[in-house]
Amino acid sequence: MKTRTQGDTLIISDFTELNTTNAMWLQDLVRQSLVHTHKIVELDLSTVRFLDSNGISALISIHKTMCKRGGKIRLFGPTPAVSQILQLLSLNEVFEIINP
Amino acid sequence: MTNVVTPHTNQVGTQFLSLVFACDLRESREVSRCVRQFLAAVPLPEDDVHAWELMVTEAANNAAEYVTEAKRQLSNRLEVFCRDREIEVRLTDHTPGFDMPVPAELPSVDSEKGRGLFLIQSLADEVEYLRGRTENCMVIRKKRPVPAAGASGGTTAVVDLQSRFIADEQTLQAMTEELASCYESLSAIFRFSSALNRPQPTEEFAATWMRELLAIVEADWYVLRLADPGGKELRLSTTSLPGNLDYSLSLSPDASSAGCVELRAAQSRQDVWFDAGTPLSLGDPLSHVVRQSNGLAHPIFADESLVGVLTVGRLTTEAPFKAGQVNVIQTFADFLGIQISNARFRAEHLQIQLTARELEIASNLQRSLLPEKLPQMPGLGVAGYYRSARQVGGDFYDAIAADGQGLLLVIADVMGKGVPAAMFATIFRSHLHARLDLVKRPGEFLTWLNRSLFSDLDRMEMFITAQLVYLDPAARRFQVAGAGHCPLLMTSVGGSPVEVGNTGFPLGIMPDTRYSEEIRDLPPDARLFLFTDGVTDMRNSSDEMLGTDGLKQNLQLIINRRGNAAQAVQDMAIMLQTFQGKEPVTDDQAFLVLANG
Repeated sequence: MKTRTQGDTLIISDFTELNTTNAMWLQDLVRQSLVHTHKIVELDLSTVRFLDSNGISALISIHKTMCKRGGKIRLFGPTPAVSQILQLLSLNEVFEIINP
Repeated sequence: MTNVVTPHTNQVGTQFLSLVFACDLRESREVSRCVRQFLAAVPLPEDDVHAWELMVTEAANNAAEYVTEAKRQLSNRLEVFCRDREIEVRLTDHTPGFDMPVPAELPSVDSEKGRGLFLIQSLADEVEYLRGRTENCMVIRKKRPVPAAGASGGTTAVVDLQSRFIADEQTLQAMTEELASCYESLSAIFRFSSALNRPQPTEEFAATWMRELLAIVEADWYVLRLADPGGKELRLSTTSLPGNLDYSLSLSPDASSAGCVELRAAQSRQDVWFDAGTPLSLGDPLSHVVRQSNGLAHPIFADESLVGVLTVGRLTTEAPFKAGQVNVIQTFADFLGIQISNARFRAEHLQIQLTARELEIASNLQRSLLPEKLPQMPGLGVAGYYRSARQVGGDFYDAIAADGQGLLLVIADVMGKGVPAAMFATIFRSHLHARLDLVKRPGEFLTWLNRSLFSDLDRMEMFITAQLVYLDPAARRFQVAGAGHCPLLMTSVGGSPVEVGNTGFPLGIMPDTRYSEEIRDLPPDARLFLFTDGVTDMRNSSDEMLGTDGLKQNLQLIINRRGNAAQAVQDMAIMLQTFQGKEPVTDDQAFLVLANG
């Protein structure tokens, strides 16, 4: 996973899965990388081909963290497999999703 | 992963994969990757491969997440059966298990947990969770997509795989046994289902199917106890065990169930297990017959009511039932519960039909006792009314012309209702018509009737109240004799009704009772009203009784209309029904009216 900041957005990219093995790690990464100027956490899901319920838990946890800070989470370019899961769990309207 | 059985294909074309893996979250993902690889090679479309990858991940995560520390060292097992039309995955875990909600609910948006089961149910066609004593098994099934025309068929794929995979004899054997076991279970359940529709004695039926069950689940013994219809105790229905098990177990809430697995299962409404860790207690009567044993007591319910308890076991504390076997036991028991419940319902329904038929016959008989047409004398008319509380009752009236001159009026009430009352009304009538020579002496007639009927009435602990009135129209005089019956009412226009008739013991109380007569003149405008106590005892919607005074008041109103006997009966019937409203008739009602006309 890589992080970079663009304006008020913390962008996390370069990962192919979000599951039990790295969900906690992602949450730690966000916690450590966030500074007070960050209003948005954007996860680049364009390379993610596998998302399980523990990955979803991490997304919701970050979403809640950002809401408390008056910010939000944004999902960028989810693959069809990930989109299907978000839709199945009725989360496609909870998160801001950018489909380039 | 500790063990991966090389994927292979068996004789019936089922491709099979078996994985044994440590109970660890990190292993879950490895297992689902392995399944992905296997299914992609089948081949299966990417969407389906992805769905299975996710379902297996979620199931394996649950198995690792909810296991207790004591069981964490036990390995989990995953099997994939790739058949022509569907794919089935079985994951055997060692968690305490859970009751699977169907369907699983989607948690609230803020909740960070609880989506795994929802995902599995959403992506699969069928999900079952079989709970066992030492292990549970989640079974997930999903249909395979139909291959597009021209695409390479399953057979080709199988041939390809056969050439690619080396058959593992041991696993092939295990799979054949698995299939054979499935086939046995399924065929037994099919036969069981078809037998459900056959009327068979319940015990014989149960014993036959319990023997089948023992063979299928490799059990050594069973005990089937059924709750009595009142639900007060469990009684032995059938068992494979020798020894004295023919005792009853009280289902009273006060009864202690601590020592007995069968009672504990009935009272807790849950399966109760016993094995080396939790052996049958010494206080449990079963422990005297099967000391070293493992198994379960399964309560059987139908429509929430306890039907019985089925206890099945093996004569060893090792080798507990597998989750699939437990499922077969539970399924058989539940089928049996439905069968027993239906059989009881059919028996009760049949009994109700028989009783209704008996009552109908008795009712016809009893109605035939009432005179179709009452004799009419010059200047005098007689009319009667009868209403039964049930389909058949014990009230009776008659009017018999004597020698072309006089008239005998009879009213009687046999104690009780239903068939016995109607039978005695019949006997009473036969006796009455046997001695018409006594009509002019009603007291003597009652004395004779009492003597003749006494032994039968006494044996049945029944009695009859009766009143006989002999009327001599020419002399305008009547003689009345009563046996425990309410006095008749004599009315005249403008005056209040007068009670007439002495009352002795009812018929059937004392063998040698002598009944006396009272002789009265019959004034020109007088009417006689003979009735049974069902008339005065009737109640309205406010639970007020009509009573003798109420009857007298209404009777006076009716008599003042100066109608004939038939009109008086009609008016009285309307009055009674108006008073009663929609309240049910609790006692037979009968009355006779003698009036000018």
